[in-house]
Amino acid sequence: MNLTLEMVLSLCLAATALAIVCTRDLLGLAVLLSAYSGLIAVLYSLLGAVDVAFTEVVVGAAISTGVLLALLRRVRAKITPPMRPLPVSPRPFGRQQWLAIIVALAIAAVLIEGIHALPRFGDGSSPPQRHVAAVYTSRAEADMETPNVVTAVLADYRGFDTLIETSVVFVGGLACLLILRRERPSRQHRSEHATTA
Amino acid sequence: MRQPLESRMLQVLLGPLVTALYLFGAYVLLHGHYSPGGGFQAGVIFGAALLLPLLVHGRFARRRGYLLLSQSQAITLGAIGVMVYALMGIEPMLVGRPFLDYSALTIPAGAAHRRSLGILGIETGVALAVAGSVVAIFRVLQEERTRQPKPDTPK
Repeated sequence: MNLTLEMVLSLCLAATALAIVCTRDLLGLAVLLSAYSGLIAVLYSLLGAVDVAFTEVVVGAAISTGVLLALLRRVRAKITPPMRPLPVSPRPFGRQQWLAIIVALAIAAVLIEGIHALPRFGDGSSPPQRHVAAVYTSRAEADMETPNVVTAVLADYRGFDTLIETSVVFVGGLACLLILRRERPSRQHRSEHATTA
Repeated sequence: MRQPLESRMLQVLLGPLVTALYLFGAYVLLHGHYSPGGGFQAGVIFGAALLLPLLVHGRFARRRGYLLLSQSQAITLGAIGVMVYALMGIEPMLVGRPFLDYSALTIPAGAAHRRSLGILGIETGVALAVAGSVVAIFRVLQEERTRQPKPDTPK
């Protein structure tokens, strides 16, 4: 039952990915990306990674769609009216296209071959499970009254990693601000220079 | 984006939705010890609650009484979040314990409970940092467009 559901979801994911590549409509693209995140979140939760699924839903399906919509309004205001299709037209297959297809198929073959080297799903004796994972899962509740081991590992056992991760998120936001915001500060700067000069 | 969406339905439903989002965000943050979720997810939810009025009401959002953050306020909030996290790590160092050792926090409680509260503290910091960054990114995408076409209008 679960396997059938997972396979159906995977096929839907592949179809959505194909639609994302093929679509010319930017608004439709935002909706499709959101749908992709929603589908893959269901898949994650079926596999037992509920925290990852939750993050995928709030970031991929919710916030990035909002940001994309904001971006879209701006871009569309510059291109339109009327909304022109993107300057990509389906060309007949040349040598480059065939080369690209061969390279993509080769990479896919390598990845599929690599599946055999992965440990079986839920295998307790696989390398990631044999190191500290057992200690964390058995001691989290006694150590810090936190039954959700994911929170315990993220916030306490691996607290330093999470601190750096949080700073990365903040620096990312700051960088967006510094790169994209350009009009007002520079003019203010110039007028300050003019008064001091 | 500055123009409001001409949808009565969205405008009416926005109020209850934003309220529910704040409540859900607080739940995700405070209940992260026992269920999926935590600071990061709560931060994004708070960010969404701060952004939705802008999407729906455009530049009239403030007039409608929704809580909003400007660009600089948002990035300041993010910085405060990172600082809360770092301070939670520095506090144990004052009594000679390792960085981020929550069991040495000066809270009158048992060691396990102190660590639990320490996790809550840093999750709050993460939530603030993420919410601030998300709002800042959205604000910068939204504000530039109105400034670009007429740079010479006096404010």
